[in-house]
Amino acid sequence: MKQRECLNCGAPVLADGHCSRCGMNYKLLAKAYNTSNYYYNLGLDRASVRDLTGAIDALNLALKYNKQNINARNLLGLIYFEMGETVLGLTQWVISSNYLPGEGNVAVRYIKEVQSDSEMLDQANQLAKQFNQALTHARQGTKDLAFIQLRKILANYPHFVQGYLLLALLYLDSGNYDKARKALKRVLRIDKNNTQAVRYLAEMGVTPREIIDMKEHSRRIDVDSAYTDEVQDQSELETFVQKRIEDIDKPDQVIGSYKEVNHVRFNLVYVSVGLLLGILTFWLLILPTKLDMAGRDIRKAQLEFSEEVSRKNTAISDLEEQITELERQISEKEKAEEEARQSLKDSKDAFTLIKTAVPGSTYKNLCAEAAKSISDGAYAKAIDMCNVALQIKEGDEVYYQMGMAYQGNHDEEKAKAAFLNIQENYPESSHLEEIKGYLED
Amino acid sequence: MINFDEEVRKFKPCLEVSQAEDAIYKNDVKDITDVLEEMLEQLKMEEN
Repeated sequence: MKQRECLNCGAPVLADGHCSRCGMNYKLLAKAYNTSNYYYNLGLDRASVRDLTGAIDALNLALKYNKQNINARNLLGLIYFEMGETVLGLTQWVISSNYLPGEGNVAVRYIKEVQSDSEMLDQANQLAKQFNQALTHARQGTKDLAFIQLRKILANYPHFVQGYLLLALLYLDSGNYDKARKALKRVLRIDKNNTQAVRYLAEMGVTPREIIDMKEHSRRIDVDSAYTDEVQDQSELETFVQKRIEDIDKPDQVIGSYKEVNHVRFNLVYVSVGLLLGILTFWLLILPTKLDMAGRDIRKAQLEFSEEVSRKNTAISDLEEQITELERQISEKEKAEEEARQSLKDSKDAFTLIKTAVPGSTYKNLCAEAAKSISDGAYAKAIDMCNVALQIKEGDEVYYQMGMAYQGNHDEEKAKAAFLNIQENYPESSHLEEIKGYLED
Repeated sequence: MINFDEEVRKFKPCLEVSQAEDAIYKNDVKDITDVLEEMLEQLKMEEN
């Protein structure tokens, strides 16, 4: 009997059913891998009948059981690619090619194809940017701009499901159910069971039976053709012609008995029928074309007008924001000015108070403290105090104490300068006599 | 009835090419093998 290999690391499996290297239970892993393949098959079935949402769910489950299920990952990438999500698709293929490099993996070919077509990659990037911009517009309430952007996207990328869904939502919001229904029909053509599209249709009051009919009818849509919002008047004519052809082809038509027709008797009837046919032709062929042309002109004018309005609205909102900002700045500045004025006033008051009340007492105290320090022999401290007292007020007392302190500190030059200051500026000082002798020496 | 604001919030922005690298690195989904490996590691740690 051939020895089993571990599904995780490839090492031989022991008799107890566990891997000899990684210790994994073989049966458990085999079951997980089988389940993964089951979900891959389910995804494949769903994808083949264009149930893309269902396929995505199944394939994601397959990857939860075995993230190295290459087929599941490649198919998931392909589905994202089909739904217009190129970058998401590429992401899956890159991961897949990382697990299984080489030509045997189809993801490698897909990546090469996408990479070789730089225009495609550029377009995919452009699509993502434009959709994100449209989404931002929709969220910010500038729905006109979102409409314009989405129409532009869908004209170039008719497979982009998210774009149709957002467009349908915008139409639903604006009460334009016919156009919403048209966009959702496209979604159902690409992704038959798209839950979001079905929910929107149900919210619009479309019955489940009608939704099934829509799915059937959506098969006729050429999914590669550019999407346009224009109402398809052609289809009415087509329906009419088809109905007539069906009427003609009806096998159960009863053929009456043969009668000779009196042509003279029916002349008036022929003329009336001719007239009626003429009117009918005008009604069915010429009038719809004329109405369609007029409708297109009106729609074009409406579109241009709405674009202009949205541009103006944006400009107005910008200007309003600027005004609000400027007003805020002005009020802030006024407030700051008022606060500065108030603080200046307070400072002035405080300064006046300090100037009148504090200096006198502080000056005297400092002079007294300096004298005390001199008597204690702390000349440096006395000099510091004199310097502080000088900051408050100049006077003979402080210069005297300063001179004494410098003298005590053996700084004769500074001491002399202080005493000279008294002699020159304070002729009535009580200390003149005391310093006279010193200055003469 | 559909609430526009609520619905529009459910839409996710599209991945741009410049964000692809990040998306690939962050796409580290755990599968059954990872869970089993973690369990075995835990068991080994408990035994030690």
